[in-house]
Amino acid sequence: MRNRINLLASCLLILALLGTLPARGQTLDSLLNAANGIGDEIIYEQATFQTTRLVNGHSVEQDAKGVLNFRISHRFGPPSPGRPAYNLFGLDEANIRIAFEYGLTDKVMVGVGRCKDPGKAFDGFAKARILHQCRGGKNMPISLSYFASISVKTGDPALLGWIPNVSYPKWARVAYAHQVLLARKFSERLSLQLAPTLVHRNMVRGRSEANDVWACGMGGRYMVSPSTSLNFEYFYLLPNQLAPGFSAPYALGVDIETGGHVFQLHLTNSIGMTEPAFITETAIPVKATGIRFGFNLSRVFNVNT
Amino acid sequence: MRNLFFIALGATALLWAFAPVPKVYFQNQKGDITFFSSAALEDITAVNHKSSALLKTADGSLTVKVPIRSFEFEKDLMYKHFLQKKYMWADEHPEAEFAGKLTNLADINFDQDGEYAANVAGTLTIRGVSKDYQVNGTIKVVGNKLTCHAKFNVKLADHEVPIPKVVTENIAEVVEVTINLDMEEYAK
Repeated sequence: MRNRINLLASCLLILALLGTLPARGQTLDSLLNAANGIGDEIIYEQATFQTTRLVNGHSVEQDAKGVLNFRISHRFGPPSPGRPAYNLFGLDEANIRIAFEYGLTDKVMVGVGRCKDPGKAFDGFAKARILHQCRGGKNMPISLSYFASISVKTGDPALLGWIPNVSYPKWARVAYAHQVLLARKFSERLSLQLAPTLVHRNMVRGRSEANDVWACGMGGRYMVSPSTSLNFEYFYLLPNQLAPGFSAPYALGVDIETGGHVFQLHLTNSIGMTEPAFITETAIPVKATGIRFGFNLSRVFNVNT
Repeated sequence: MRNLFFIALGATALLWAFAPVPKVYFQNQKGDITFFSSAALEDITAVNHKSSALLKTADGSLTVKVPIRSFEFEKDLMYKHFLQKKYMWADEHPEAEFAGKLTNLADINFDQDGEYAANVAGTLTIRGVSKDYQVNGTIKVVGNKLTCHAKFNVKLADHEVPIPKVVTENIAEVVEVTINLDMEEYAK
């Protein structure tokens, strides 16, 4: 009897003391896990590429909502054969594209531009992000975007190589491009991209050329320092779509990123800077490779956030 | 024998009645934590509404976790840069964490509504690098809710946050951090 009461008394005392002690087991992590579950957070990959272009072609990057991206791009001429210094390694001849591009939403951007060569063309495009690479609560191994553009050559018939005094339909000046961009950021340094592309030109030079040109872009970037990447790009073209003398475009470049600018410096064999131009009109000059220097300069402004 | 039993019962009752019941306050992914950088070329402000915190009145321990990816910037490009290795390296260090204790716990009555001065000492870990801080702030008790406020400076070099040379004119060496926790008593 005495023992029992002693036991009961001890139990009550212990209980009383326990009641005043803090709940030891609780940590911030255990409460968060209990409240939210584990691993729910979805982490979207940022900065698969430094900017919206790899070199010539688009990348899966978008301008964010309300961001105006002012882009100036140049492609110079190939160095004059045998006398590379004569035209200052090609810098005497320049092709220029000036463009304004804008993020309508975080997933849809549009742009308009004007490019001197070939054919004094105006272009307009839209690009939409459909899939965004992510991990954590949701797993998506790739990013996928769709890109579409229209370009209109405004040059005189002589500039376009048309037969004089022949009346061509207005739509002969127009070309379109459709592209699916598939990319994956493999690590902080390495990202790769595939870009199946269809270019449709309303008018071509002759029977040796196809109106619909199918191509597949492949490219990537490798960060060599926290702000600098090496980029490469090549478009494979299905055979027998272009006239002899035209080649698949390729490029090797360096991206240098500062606060609000990205400088892209590159060597490429193409002079055009829009999809119909660089995919179907990369001409190879006689007795030369046609490799030229070029740059893209991008400056972003937040006009509406 | 019987006496012992009643003494025990009495002790129990007394302890239950008069000992302050320890409380646990919790904040689940809210509040706001702001940092402000003022440099020659620009001012940068970012705010985070996804921090979590735990405060135990039993020992005065305070833990705060801030997910780096949840900072919101005025400009999207700033956010993208912020996550990269050359600044915060969010892939490697997804959270900043503070773990410390209230050093004047006795001065705060969590059962009595009011605003109290609160002194906290602890370790702040940013980008994987820890440093000890002494922070003076306030704790406001309203019912079962706590609002904690503090403001202090963080020197980026103390946490080995690298700032690329090209943006030294854009980013301050010392940023001002403002903490507003919005905690509620945790009910199991």
